[in-house]
Amino acid sequence: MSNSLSHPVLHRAEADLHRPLSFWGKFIRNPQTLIGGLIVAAIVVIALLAPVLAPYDPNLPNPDQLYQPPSPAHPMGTDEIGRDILSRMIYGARISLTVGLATMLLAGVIGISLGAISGYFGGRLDVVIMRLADTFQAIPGLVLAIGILAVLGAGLSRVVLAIALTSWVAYSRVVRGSYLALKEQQFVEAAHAVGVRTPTVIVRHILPNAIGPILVILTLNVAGAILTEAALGYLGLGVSAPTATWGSMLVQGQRLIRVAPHVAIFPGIAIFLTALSFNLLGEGLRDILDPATQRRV
Amino acid sequence: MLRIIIWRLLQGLITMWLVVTVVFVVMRLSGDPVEMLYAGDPRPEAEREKAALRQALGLTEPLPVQYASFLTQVARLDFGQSFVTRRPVMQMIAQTLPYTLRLTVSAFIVAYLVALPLGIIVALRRNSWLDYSSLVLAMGGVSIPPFWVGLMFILLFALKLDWLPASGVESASAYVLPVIVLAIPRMSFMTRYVRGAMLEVLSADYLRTARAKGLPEGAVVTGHALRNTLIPIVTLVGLQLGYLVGGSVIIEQVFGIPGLGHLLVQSIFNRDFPVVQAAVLILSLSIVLANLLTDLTYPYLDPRIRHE
Amino acid sequence: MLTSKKYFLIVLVGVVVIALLSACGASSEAADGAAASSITVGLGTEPPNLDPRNYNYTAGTFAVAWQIFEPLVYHDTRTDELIPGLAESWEQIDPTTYEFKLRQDVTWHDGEPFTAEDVAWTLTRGPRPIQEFGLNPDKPVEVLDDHTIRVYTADPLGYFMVQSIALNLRIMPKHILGDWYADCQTTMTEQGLAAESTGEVCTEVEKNRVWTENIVGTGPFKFKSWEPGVNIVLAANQDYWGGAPKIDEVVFKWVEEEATRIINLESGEYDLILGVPDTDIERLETVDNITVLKSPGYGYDMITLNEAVPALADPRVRQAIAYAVDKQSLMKLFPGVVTRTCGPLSTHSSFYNSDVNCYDYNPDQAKALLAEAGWDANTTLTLKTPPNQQNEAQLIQRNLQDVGIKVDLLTVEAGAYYQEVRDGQSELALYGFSNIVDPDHMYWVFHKDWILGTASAYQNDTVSSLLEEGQTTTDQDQRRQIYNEAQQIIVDDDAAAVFLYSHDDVRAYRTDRLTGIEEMPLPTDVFYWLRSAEVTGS
Repeated sequence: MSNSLSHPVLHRAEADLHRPLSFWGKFIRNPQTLIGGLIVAAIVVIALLAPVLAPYDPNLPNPDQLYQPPSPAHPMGTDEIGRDILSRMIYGARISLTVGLATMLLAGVIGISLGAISGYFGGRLDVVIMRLADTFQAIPGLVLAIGILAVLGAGLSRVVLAIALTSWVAYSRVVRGSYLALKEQQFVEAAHAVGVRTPTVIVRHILPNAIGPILVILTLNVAGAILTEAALGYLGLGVSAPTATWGSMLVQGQRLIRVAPHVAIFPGIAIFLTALSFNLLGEGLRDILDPATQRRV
Repeated sequence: MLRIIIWRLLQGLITMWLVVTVVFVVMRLSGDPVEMLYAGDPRPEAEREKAALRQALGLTEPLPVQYASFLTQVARLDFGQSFVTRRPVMQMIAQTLPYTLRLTVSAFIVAYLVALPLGIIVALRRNSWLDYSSLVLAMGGVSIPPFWVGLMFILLFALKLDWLPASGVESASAYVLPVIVLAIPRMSFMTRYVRGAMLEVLSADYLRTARAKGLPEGAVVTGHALRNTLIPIVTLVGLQLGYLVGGSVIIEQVFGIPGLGHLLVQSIFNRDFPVVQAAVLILSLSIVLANLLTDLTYPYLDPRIRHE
Repeated sequence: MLTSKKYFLIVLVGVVVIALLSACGASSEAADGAAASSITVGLGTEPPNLDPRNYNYTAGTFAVAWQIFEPLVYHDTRTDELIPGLAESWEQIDPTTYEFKLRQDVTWHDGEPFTAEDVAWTLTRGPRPIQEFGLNPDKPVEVLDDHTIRVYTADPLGYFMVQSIALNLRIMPKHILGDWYADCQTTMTEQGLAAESTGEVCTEVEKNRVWTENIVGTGPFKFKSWEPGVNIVLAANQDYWGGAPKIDEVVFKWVEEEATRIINLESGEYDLILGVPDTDIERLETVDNITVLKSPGYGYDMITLNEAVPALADPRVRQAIAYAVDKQSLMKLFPGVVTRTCGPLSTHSSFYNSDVNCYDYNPDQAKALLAEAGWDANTTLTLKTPPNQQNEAQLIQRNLQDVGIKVDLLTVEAGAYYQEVRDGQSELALYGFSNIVDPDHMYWVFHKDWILGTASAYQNDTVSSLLEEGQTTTDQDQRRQIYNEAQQIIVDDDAAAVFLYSHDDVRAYRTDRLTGIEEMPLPTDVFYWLRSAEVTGS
């Protein structure tokens, strides 16, 4: 019997040792990215299909069915004004993902551009931007977010803005570091030599090479934003009623914790799972994309 | 060395000035404290009183004048009086700060006490069940909303088991729950971080040399690896402290601790400018100072940096 | 590898450090332990100060301050009877003159005798109280002897005894505050404040310096200590003229988180709590050793309808909204603790007109009225709500949508909410009042001068003159007729607001710790009965 037929697995493994895995190959093999990715995908699907999946109108109150425990009609029970918790959970996924992703985008754009400018140009601009970063880092994020919302008032877009303003520093520091290291490299000098304009160099030539650490922060930022939204909701500064958000549902459930614990338990689990899946994804990506840490795993 | 210290101090000062300015601007944009003070007063003559009060509180001055007088106050560490309680702001801060310090410093110690040994152990036993379960726990710890954990702990330890009080600050036992809840995310993060740092050091060349010289593994770890693992961990102290201070705002709310975070949230809602400014300043100062200390202790831990 | 011994040492050091850090704050414990019978009361928030006539009404302030400071007379809201307090008798000599005979056996907590001078000073210490109490500015009071005082009002005031004297006046010590107050006025003048404003600023703003320490009253409990953020301790006044209380010491603590407050009661940390969450009441009633006390609330909740908004100008639209709201369903959110009230008074008030139209839930009638008024289905109204009333707001939003009125919800942070609504920055808004002891309250809400604000921009000349008349009529039966008529117009004809219900005041206590508080003699006086309660367990 030939080896190739009797030991296909062995051959495959041997082949892996010689040929580096593609990104997606690593993605699937890493338990963190795999589990995290699957849960994230599931939540995205739930959010997209909310109108199809939700058994009831998420905002329909029913004063005759206040905080009912889980039953076949309401698999997760009903809340303080008799709304179906399952339906609210499903619609809540939209808000949590929106907050998470929008914050990530906004903070990413602010942080990456400031970091790139700072790292690429250096000099006075660098000093100014880094002092700004120090300032934002010196004020505890939650405190700054509370202050901003106290000024602007609550609401979805304001919550996103407040959280984004408190989370761009991480991007700018990492991107600045990458740019400092990359701008001296040959391919950058080469690009300049052939007359590529500076903004193009910054965006087209350097950014793709710094994408690894950025991707990690983007993912971790989503998890952080979802948790911060819940915390702001806890302080009464979240997205306003009747919009179903996991944070506001959790806070509502907290008041009912002795009467109807299920009201708080399900959104708590949902926030936990979502934050966990993005954290897993981020940590896994770090392992895959950063060769230095790859060794550690 | 001296030049570096002076440069760092200068940077810290500039940061503090920016913090003060940001807070000043944000609070002035956010509403009229006199209206808040008089909310609920139905009398028609309240308007006249409000005007008198604005004058007495210096709110009728142009903004640049208010800003300048505020900066001089800050420089003298005199934050004036609270708009709401009319007590000296520094007195209110002095009353609340000890609770927050006790909470955050204890949580900091607990987090590092658990994370350091655990991180080192799992690094030495890489890919064991201990390593994997610590990974799962750590991921959970940073993903779970702290106020939710706080509530669950209150239900379990205060109500069901009746071991610990659910709120208050009058006994050491009242701090146990909030300290643990506040420490959980930091503990989780640091365990993974220590593990990573340790692994990196363990695979470094000089350790291979040490092993090759025939040193026992225990001596390698305690003698060489530990010291070098500390460097990246120390750099994180400032950042961790920032997270703890931010987290204490929520935890103080859940456990009814009358600390600085609690005072800050109340004052923000009351538009109590002087208190907010002073509280944010103190919180930020602690973070800036922690970062400064980190920068300055760095060279002593890592001889390579000292020589540069 | 760290040896386990070394690690043990590190942990030990850590534990010691934590213990030390924590011990710094634990010093007060030993001092409080001495009292023979002590109870702990759980409040929602820390009182900002102990000014007994604080305008920013917080239940916490009253719970504490009203144990220390006393009124001349108490008012039993249920029977409309006046009960002697610091005054043993009183008499209305003419429509604007009242004479009070004071008790002779009363001393302040510091041993100084209580006299008519204290009453006179409390009423006249600045322009503001004189105006607040409606006194004659030229001759507000006259001290006849140490224990007799006459009080002159500017006009005849129908509510004077009940509202001004019983509810709003707590006598303060002249020998403690008189000099301070004079000094404050001088200082304020020196600081360049206009002369006529100094008095007001001193009473309103500087008060907190005075009302957090050295607090001296005449009541059944004495101020003992206040550790900011932690607790306020009161001790029994052994020399109380009404007899020494049976409880030696009352410790007030507070925690904002409702769930925690309840858990503290259940675990025995607190013996008595103020502010029981509506949703927990039914459950608490079944818990051993805990009794829930409900007393009728003297306030009401309503939805304001701003008539300055064109869409709400037509009374038929307002009536339609009143019919469209399902009040019975709303009341299910507060099982067992609300009473339906159809007009601008609590049903428990003796002035409540029970003949007004209740606008019982009737969506068809609502639709018919809307059609009649030519309601434009594209109009969207905004319903403003404070954060703690979002549940009601969402039910109301649904009710209105069901009859074809589009409604947006807008939650506004509590601090800014009431101001915005009073300033007329609302279309529909949830609003409520508590502790209404006299129907004159309507004057503040429904008079055409919009004294309490433009929330409803209500203007009806007949109602306004009725409310003015009621204010200056001192014959209570005559007043009853005036207010009956006013309620009829406000509710039936104009539908000036949607009146919902009044909340009971609810407290809960541990029966294994406290006895002697079976009933609440005075619903508006929080914890009045502490003076007669007894501690049982330990």
